[in-house]
Amino acid sequence: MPVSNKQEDKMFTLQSQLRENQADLTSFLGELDKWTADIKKKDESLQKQKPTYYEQNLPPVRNSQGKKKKKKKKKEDSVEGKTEEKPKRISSYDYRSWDKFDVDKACEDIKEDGDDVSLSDLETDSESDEEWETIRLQQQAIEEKNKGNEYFKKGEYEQAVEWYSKGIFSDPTNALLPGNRAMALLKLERYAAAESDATQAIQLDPLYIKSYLRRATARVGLQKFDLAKDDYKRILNLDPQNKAAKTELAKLEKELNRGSQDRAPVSSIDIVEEGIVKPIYKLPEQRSKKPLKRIEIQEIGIEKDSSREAAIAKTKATQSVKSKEIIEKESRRFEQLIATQSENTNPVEEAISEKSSRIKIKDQEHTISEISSRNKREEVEETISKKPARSKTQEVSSSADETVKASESVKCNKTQKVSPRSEKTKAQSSSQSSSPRTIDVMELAKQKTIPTTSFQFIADYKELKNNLEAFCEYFQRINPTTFPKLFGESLDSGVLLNMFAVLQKHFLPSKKNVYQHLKYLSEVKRFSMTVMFLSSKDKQVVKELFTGMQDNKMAPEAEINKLKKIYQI
Amino acid sequence: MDKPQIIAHIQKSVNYTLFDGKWIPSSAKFVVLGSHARGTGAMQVYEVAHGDVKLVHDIEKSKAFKCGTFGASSLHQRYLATGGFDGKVQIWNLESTELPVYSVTGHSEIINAIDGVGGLGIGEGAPELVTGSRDGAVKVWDPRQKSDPVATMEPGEGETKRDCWSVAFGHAYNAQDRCVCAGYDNGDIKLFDLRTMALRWETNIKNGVCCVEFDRKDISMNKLVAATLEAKFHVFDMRTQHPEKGFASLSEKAHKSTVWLGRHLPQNRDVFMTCGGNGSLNLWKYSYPSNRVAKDSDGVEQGVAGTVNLLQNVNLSTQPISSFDWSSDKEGLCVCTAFDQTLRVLIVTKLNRL
Repeated sequence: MPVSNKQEDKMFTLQSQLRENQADLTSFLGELDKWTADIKKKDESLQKQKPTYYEQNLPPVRNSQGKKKKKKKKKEDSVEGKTEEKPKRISSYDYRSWDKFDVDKACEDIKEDGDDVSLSDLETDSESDEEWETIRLQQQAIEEKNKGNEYFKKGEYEQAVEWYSKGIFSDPTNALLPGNRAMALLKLERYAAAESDATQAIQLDPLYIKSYLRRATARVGLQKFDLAKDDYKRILNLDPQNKAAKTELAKLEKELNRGSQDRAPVSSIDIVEEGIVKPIYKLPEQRSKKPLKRIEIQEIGIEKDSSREAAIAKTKATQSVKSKEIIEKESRRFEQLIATQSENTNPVEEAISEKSSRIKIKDQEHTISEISSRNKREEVEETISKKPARSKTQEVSSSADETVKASESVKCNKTQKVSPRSEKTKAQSSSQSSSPRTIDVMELAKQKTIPTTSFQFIADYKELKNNLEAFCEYFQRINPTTFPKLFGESLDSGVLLNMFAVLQKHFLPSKKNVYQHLKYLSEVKRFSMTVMFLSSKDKQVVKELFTGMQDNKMAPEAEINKLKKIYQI
Repeated sequence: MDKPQIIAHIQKSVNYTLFDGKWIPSSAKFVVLGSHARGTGAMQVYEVAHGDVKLVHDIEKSKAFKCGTFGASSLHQRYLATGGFDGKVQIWNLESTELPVYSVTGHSEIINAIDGVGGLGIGEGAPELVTGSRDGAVKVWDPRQKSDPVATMEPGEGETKRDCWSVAFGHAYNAQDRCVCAGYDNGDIKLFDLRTMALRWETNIKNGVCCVEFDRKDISMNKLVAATLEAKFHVFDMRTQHPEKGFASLSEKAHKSTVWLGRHLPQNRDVFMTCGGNGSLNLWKYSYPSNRVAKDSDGVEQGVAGTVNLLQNVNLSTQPISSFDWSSDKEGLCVCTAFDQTLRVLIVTKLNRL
């Protein structure tokens, strides 16, 4: 039967496979036994074997070369450290290290350790005799200095000076010798000599702080207080932590102050005034690594009024960037107007005229009422301080709120938001510092070249805008025909108003023809747009210009009328 | 039928958790490492003799052992290097184990894997150990240099530290060249070139890498087996590295459970055993493609992966196989340890006829 045959075949192959596997396994196990015996012998022989120094042929430990070098370096460093502990072993070449060496310390060292440096200690790896000779002389100088230090320590300053002098003769390049001699001379109260010695030491080593101190002391002795002070300041520049210089400087200043009560004030400017924050100079490595602290600025002293706060929030939200700019420009113009003609009420009125809408009228009334009660300067301040708040409220459309806000803006006219500006103007007008400034700006205006690009004009305008006269000086020189090209697309209302003011205040009185200016201004791109947003007060200025023009017959009537249309009058 | 047979020759139960087992080179002895329930380290040396194992040394140390290798020891010394739960790298003279001949706290956490090269006549160059730890660092040690690793590969400041599960040496075909491959718990495989001291290649195979092993340590990189979680292993052809694609690889499902290990047969580098989390052993043979190198569209050479054939599959235990070691002296002889607290000496027949 084929089926059974198949099964039998399968069985047979399976059996044979099993048998084969068994045979394989038994043979493997037999081999294994043999192998275990063999390997055991090998194992034992390995254990008994003397250690072979195979490691000698091994490559070096990875990355070990760098490490070894490092260690070596460290060792060298420590050796150097040791030599520095004994200053006498410092190489004569090493002036920096010698800087640290000075009389006082050396004297103490001498007490403990009387050893003098022998020439053999020197690293005499120099090749030529000449070099060797200089080294010898330098070494000799050091020895002479040490002698001098000894005498100095004993208080025999004359002897010390003698030895230092010898040292200077041997080695004129060592800054320590004149420095130390200066000290000895100070003790002898030979201040002039001490000063010249200290100066020499400073020339040899400009970073030798002690010599500055000594020169300063000498100069105090010579009554050269200002020079002494300069020296102390230089020390503090080099080493802001120098206590001696600090205390001496303070002492000196106190004395100078006492003296200044009798005499004329020597240098009151230098005396630190209270309340004035001065920049602190520190070397970069001494500066604080901490980030600057952010200090929250809180407005205080404002009446907490929820409706007001809501209004401010609202105005802020509605305020566009552009309007902010306009506000800023206007306020700047205000300052400038006030600065230039503080006694004239005109600018105040003009400033007020910039406002349109009901609030403005209210404010105007308010201002007028104040004018009656206060003197002029106060009134100016008042208007300025009110202004930003007012212009903000301008943006709010809701008319119901406006009255409230307007009154509030008056109420809080001394808030912090406004006060810095008003203070500034106050300071300007009160100190009357505007007059020297005017001259400066005038000169500046004269120096300015006639602008050819709008960029140049705006840069100049920014410098001059606070001074109408200077701006006038500058403006006069610009050829009106170049206006359209010059201003391009950037004639903003602030600039335009300033120009009108110039034309009105400086051209009309001197009967200069303003027609050309007005005509070419009107040809500037987007001019009609700018004119459209002029306030009625501004338009009044323009009107005055036109009437002036008509009265003086500066141009044919038809032309003027044409221009009037463009100016929307 | 030339199918190799895997026979559990000797079984031995122990009273501690077994983590690693290694044949002592040039002997019929092997050492097993583990952890006692009380947290102490177990180190036992057994000798195979006449169908049984004989305990030669039984050592208990204060800290549990996780892994060990003879790879960096000379054939004469046959010192065992171990990595411990406490992050210590130690080297033991098995004949006198009172004190380690070398000890250093190399890692802040458990050392998951250790490998050695340069000893036993395998691999050119200096004897070196590499350890991979849960602290994320892979460190290379030279037994001649105390206390400091000769190379450290660790994540930079601020980078997340991955648990390094496996390390392997390779490419040690001359005194200068040497590579370390490390597998991490997130599936990262990184290949560090110790000659240039730079990361040569890295890839991610999605699943945690339980084991990486080169088919040979002492030849120019040929193949790399990476065993992963989720019942998969990958074989990389390490001969041709494409500048962008890296190395060609194949992946294969196996064990229906975590693949814990992949171990190449020392006598035939194309045969390897994988050990599963379900207690099974799979014997594989890798077949090279007809052409190992192909050029891509840009004319740049790239490797071509071959195929693997399953030769044998046996189930030894219900618990994961924690270690597997082929005897380099007797083909077909191997020792494996499993989490059922049993060590087994296995015989794989007919390997010479593959």
